[in-house]
Amino acid sequence: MNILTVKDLSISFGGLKAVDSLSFEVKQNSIYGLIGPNGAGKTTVFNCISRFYTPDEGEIIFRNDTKEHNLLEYKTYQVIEKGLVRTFQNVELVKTMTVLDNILIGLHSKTKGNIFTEGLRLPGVKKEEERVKDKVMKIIEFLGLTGLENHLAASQPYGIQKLIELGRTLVSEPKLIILDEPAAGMNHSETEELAKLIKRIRDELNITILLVEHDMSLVMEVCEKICVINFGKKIAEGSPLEIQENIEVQKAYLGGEEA
Amino acid sequence: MAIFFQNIMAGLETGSLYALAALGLVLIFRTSDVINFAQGEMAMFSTFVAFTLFDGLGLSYPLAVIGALIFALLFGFIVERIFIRPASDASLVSKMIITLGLIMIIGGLASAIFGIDSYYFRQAISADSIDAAGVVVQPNALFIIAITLVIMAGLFYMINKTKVGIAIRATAQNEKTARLMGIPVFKVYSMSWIIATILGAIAGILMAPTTNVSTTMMAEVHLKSFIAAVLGGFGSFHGPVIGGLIIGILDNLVGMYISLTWKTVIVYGLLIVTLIVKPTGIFGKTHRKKV
Amino acid sequence: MNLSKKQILIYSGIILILAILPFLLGFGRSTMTMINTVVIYSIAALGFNILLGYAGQISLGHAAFMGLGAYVSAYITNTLPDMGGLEYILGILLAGIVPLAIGLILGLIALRLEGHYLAIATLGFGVTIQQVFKEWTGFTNGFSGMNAKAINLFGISLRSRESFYIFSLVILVLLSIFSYNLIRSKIGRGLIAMRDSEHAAQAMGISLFKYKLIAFSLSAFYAGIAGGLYIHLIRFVEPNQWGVELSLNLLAMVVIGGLASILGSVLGAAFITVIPEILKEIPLIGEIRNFSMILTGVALILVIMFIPHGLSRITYKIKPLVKKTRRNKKLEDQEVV
Repeated sequence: MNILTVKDLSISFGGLKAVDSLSFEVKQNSIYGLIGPNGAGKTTVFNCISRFYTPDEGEIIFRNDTKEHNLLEYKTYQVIEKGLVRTFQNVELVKTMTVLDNILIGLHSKTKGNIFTEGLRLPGVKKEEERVKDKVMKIIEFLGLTGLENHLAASQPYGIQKLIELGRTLVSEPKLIILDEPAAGMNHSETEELAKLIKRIRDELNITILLVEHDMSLVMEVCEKICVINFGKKIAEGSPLEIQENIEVQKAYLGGEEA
Repeated sequence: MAIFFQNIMAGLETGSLYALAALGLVLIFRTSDVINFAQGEMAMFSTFVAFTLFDGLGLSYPLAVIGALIFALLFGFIVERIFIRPASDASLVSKMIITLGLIMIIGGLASAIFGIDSYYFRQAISADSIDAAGVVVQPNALFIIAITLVIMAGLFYMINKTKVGIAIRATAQNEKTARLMGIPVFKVYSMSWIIATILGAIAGILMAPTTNVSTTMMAEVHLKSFIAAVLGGFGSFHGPVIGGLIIGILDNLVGMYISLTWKTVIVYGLLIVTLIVKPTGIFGKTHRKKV
Repeated sequence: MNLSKKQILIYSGIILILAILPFLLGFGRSTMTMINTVVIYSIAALGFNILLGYAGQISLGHAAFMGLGAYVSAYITNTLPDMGGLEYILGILLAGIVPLAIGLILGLIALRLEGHYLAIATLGFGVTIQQVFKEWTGFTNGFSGMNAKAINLFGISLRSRESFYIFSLVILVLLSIFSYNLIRSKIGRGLIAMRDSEHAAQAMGISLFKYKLIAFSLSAFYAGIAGGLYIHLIRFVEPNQWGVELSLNLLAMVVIGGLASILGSVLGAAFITVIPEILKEIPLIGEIRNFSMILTGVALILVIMFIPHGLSRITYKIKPLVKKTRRNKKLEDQEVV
């Protein structure tokens, strides 16, 4: 069953087509990779799916269990409620908050409370705070960040910040996470750790993963299916092995290197 | 009918001044990403300089005006250099707060230096009014409209046809790219602040005969120029000009036919309606923000 | 972010001392008026700080909300029959609720758009409402101004400056607790997330529009309450006091005192209220007209450029010097920012 279906997606910026009638499908419980040379339009596709951009044409259908959602009907902040959540290329954390509070943000739409109950701190609020904090602590444990919860997020090393951001998405109990270049800025051993973690997220938490990546080793190691795009168009799709042997792909990457 | 045209005429006169001020606002906003809330105070200060040169030092009117414009040139340059440029990487909110601080500094200085009384300042042209088929036309009003048209024409020529204009438009479009293309964006900032301050000074000097010279003289023009910029849209250079003229005419018609006391309230209502119906202004376009 | 029991005890102690101090020192009437004014502006600044410090939005119309609160409470308490004291509670409550409702409507219109439209819309709003104060004589008595009664709560008269001080201090403390509670729960986290990273906030389910709207209407509520208190302290109100100058002063209080800080709101209110009074006493400088306004402008710009946390963080910098032993990990972490 497909959890995400992107159909004939097109978007242009000032006459330049960033994505050109792109279609692909992501199977439930799979790890799917979207790759391509610099400027191929990968992140733009992500921004369309997570509703930061509204595409000019096309459809984006997200299926959560039995319910189908046409994502284009929703606003950016409504996407997470449907069970789809993303990370950012340059880690977007709330710098002035602790690790715990940062991950709590991921539970925003699932935390009860309104301005009156919270401002007056009615009895239910304390309970609710404890409930959501427990959930966060479980995620912190899952990611091996125990002990760091009360430290400022901004004072953590880059690799940890990436994990915090990942934790923020996990805590919302999504069905699909889209990762925007998770390995960017990581060294080789860190990337290997990340690969393991991504597999654990899928295997232990049953979360489907769609990732955009530049780092080929990561993509080849974790993805079951890969879609290659160049100039906003799909040029190949298949297993890591098929992609490695594809001449079109090699050309695109070599061409990309030259330019 | 004559009264109607009389009001249109008066509307074009004040509308021209709103347009000049609004153009200054938009010029600064588009190039250096700052909403200059101190524009009105700066214009008031320049007008006081013109008045002091004329009345205090006894210079002739044209010389006093030229003196004030030279002052405005330096004024705009200095404000940009000292207050705005050091904050060029700061957020839009921080930059707005800086211009709000400038209101207090410039307004405070003006009343400390020039006092809080109001003074009569002569019109640019004091010839007798002309009667054209029942519509009384003041030569000074015609002069204001004409000079505004000339300034606009010159400015639009500059923006669209000259090298400086290309630099301004490129910076307005995308500052980063402009920088990469070798456009000296800081010079563009300076330039737009200087031009905007001069535009404000001209609006102030031409407004003075109606409002008298005082520390609060620009309050109305200032607000109306903002409304004009929203109405016409911050996204284009011609929008605010047309917005200014519309506000000017509407101001006079509302004052004549509906209510003089509720004029400001009604014109503000127009701003609200604009924000509801066409949030980006009549000539505005929505931009897609990069994530 | 959560206060420890010890900290709560310390803060309660400080508030108690502040409450008793005027009685012990026996200040004159004008000093007491000034202290009362500081408390009232603190309330308005507290609200404005939610808007500017947390939501990152600028309003140039909060003086109008404050004025509206003043007129509403004056009108209600002048019109309603004697209900023993209930009419004052009603008046001050509505002084907050009417601005809140108007703020909600204005926000619905101006906050749909990104960026600077709220500042412009509120600039116009401020001028327009001031015009309404001048012209709607049936409600405001126009230029002649409007008188109001001293609060009389179920037999306890707040006519004296000292008793009024206790009353307004209680309201300030209650509203501070409300702010504090809000900031450390879901809504507060939402606001802070929005301020620090709009993209992350949106992706995590935070509607920027909704949260800006919450901050704007809540700040209008606080300003209105402050206005409602003010009218019963000074017992006279006229249209000219609610101009853009006051709005700018409110902004200056929040920025100079400290963005996103409850303590900062109070410090800022004290700074802006007390400094002009001190300057007046200094020879030569006191003669310069509007010197305090110029100084406020300069301070505003200097703080925004060089001391982003304003006066509130200065205490953080002093604390470790005073008590080196208490220099725990948390404090060091905060210095990193």
